[in-house]
Amino acid sequence: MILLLIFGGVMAGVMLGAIPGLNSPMGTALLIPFTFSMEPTSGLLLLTAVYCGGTFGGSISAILFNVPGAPEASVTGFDGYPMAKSGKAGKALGYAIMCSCLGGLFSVLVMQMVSPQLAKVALSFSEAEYFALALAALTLIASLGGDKMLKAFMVGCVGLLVATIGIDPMTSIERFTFGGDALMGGINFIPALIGAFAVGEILMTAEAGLKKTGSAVISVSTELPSLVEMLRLKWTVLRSAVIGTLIGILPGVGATTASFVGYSEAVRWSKHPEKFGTGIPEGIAAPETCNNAAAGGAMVPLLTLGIPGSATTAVIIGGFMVHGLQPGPMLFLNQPELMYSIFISMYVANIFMLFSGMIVAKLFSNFRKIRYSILGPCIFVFATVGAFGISNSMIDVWVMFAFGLIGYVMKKFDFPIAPLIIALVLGELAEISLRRGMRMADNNLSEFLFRPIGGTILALTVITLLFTIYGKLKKKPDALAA
Amino acid sequence: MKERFVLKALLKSDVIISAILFAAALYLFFETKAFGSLDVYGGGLGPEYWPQFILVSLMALCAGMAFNTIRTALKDKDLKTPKLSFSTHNIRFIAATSLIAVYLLLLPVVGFMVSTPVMMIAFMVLLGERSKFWLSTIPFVLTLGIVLVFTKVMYVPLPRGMGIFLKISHLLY
Repeated sequence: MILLLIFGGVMAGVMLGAIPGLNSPMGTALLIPFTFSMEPTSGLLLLTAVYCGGTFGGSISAILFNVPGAPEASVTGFDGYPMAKSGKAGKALGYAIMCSCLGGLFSVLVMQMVSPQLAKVALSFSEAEYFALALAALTLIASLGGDKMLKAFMVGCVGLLVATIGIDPMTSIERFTFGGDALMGGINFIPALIGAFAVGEILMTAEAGLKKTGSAVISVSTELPSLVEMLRLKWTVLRSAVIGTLIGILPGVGATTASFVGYSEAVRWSKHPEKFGTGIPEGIAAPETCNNAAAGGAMVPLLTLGIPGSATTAVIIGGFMVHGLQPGPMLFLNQPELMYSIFISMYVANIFMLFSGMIVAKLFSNFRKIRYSILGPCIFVFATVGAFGISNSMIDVWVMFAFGLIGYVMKKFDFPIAPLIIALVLGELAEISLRRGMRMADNNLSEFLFRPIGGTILALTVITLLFTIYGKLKKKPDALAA
Repeated sequence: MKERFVLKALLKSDVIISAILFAAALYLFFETKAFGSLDVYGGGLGPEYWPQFILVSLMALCAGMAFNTIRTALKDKDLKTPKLSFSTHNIRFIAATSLIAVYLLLLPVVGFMVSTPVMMIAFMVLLGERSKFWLSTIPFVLTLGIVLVFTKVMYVPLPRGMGIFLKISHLLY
């Protein structure tokens, strides 16, 4: 019965994650009332299973349609969609499913073994470390620009600037709102992402007319990677699992940032960084392993300290509370059986994800067999509903449309889109951690920069950035030009 | 002759985009002056610090990009980057953009349930769909499915519209 419950939860999570506009926190919150009549253990296992499934689900629509069903799946589309477009959608889904499963299993293993110790390390992270982390992920822009580094930096600056729109979280000053209410809440990156990738693509196809129609008619069957193929990815998967778990543990950072950092590190360590973004397995393996590992990692502060590490774990705390349980150190002492049930259920959920992922991926992949003249408008409607569903506001839908036009212009004039999204996602974290950190260090830059962990991450980031730029200039002296 | 090359170089899309971005960044830089200054916020980095840093970087990058493009154009007398041009393909793009804009404008007035099938049919025709069967089924089935899942299961309040359209929407959600 419990196994059926976990399978149902994973299946529901994957489905929810795959549909743009519906996501894991929403699904988990909606399921809390269903757990009222259940035993606390069963109820919490159901919520945890939905959480595990939901983290992966977003990748299905990201790979097949370039519309990420969940924010943490945004990076998966960078390589997943090009791979799907080249006729290997089944393979791309297979990599995503397998790596999600491995990432999830790794984080649960870590969670079971060293939860309390890791939680203490995470709490020692201060603003300088967060800033260093954000900067490390932002250097991905240099790599993603390919031979158009200058354009990539320009686009990155635009993304960072867009991230500043709205009320400044530190001083409550309005920035770039032009006196209106519409932009006060800032620009949510999900509608921007959906717009730049999905709507931009639709507009490009509309312009090209029937020429592109045939390319969408592709037969898809999920194909799990072979052992040899997985062995080729062993270091990418292992590195991403470690990064994902560690970032997941940090309160408030979450799986989305983890997937960007994981992808960034995969590019940095790769022998062929220029191939990222063209549809390579490493480009799917890194973010998928990372975001699922982060989902497990986010459970560490929840279970050990009672602090949610992500939006969904904040909802899961609600699930604990309705059953009269308070997550935290005492739970390990008072209810060890519940803790270990959660650990085991997460192992089982991640294994079930292999099957449920394949079932849902098969269901969704059938849509790719549809003609683009039918599929395009359907994707647009889902994109609209997805953008609207974030905060039930038309502002987000207009943001999606505006970014659709921006995405179209960028594609047309050969500007890379990924740096825009990376900067938009990480901009706020970088700015706020810099300003808070500097204030905490009494505006002493050296005190802010030369902290043991933060300073090391910063130094490594600067060195690798310089190497990337130097390497590109050496290979192609006009790489900065265009 | 040289003037023609300079003019051609200036018409390259990268130069025009750089110029537009530079002008926008300059305007926004002056906007940031209204955010307040360092002293106002107790000596910390004020709300203007980060945007100003980005805007200055953006202006420098735009200048660099424009300079490089013009220099390459003058040197090579040819460039791979596209020139801004207008063709009949653009009409289809304008039609699609207008259709989306009109749909989004009408969405709060007409409601999701009524406006979506109409927009979908128009979009499908624009993309070249001619099958009457698909044109008459997909838009309605998809809209109904989305309305049921999002409003009844997930409680997302999709736009209902106003007046008569509100009454129509109330029939379902």
